Amino acid sequence: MLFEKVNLEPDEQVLKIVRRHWFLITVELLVSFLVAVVPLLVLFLIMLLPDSFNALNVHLENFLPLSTFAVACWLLLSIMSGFMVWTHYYLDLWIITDRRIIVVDQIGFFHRNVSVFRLERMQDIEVTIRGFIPTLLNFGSISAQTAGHALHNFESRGMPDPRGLQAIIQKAMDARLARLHMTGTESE
Amino acid sequence: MNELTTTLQIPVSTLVELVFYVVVGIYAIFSAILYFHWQQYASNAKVTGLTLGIYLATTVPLIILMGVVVFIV
Repeated sequence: MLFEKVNLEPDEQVLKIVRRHWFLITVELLVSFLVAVVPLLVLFLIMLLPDSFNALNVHLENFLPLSTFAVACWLLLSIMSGFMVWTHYYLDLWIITDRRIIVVDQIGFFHRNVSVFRLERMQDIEVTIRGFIPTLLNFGSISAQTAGHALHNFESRGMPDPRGLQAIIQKAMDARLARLHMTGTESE
Repeated sequence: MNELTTTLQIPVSTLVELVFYVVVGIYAIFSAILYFHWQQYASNAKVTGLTLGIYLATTVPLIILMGVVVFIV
């Protein structure tokens, strides 16, 4: 499972696990559903057409085993694509702990990025909510910069409640910096 | 000018059987990859079980139906 791979540090606490907003996965799954169903509806409508409209004079009833096979095959491939969409959605996540942010980016089945950003190095968390539906459903992109590593800036789109997420990260950053400062003072 | 043409005649039943084997092969590989990803990277065992359960429950009957059409009908 994921947490065995991530290797949380001793006493590290997971504050929040975040995935992209439900609206995005709903739209993607709806598209998969339509891709699966629309050709079947077209076939059904062709069967309902009277002979005078059937220019090719093809009667699907005469090819029942073949059309059953084709429909089953099409549905199978559509379901597989739907599960691929769901897998990418579910395995693509942010793990916010009291020490770092772990960004798991599941781009494809064979393309997976895992980035770790320590809270004490983070600066400038920026939230963008753009568009009618994102404003209505409260989702948007969140980006942050890490000190001294311009190349390690990160941005995630379609995050739910980005302002709430920003507040959680900011609070965790402050707590982390205070803890590190305290440890530094004690050691002096 | 003489034209050389070759016509390959394959019975529909053989073609359907061939498509069936190809689809079953794709399905087997895809299922193995899906299983691997959910076992390795998912954060919740319950969701993993539910996803794989629904996947099998929706796809296996279709494979069986295709097999029935190819080998019995």
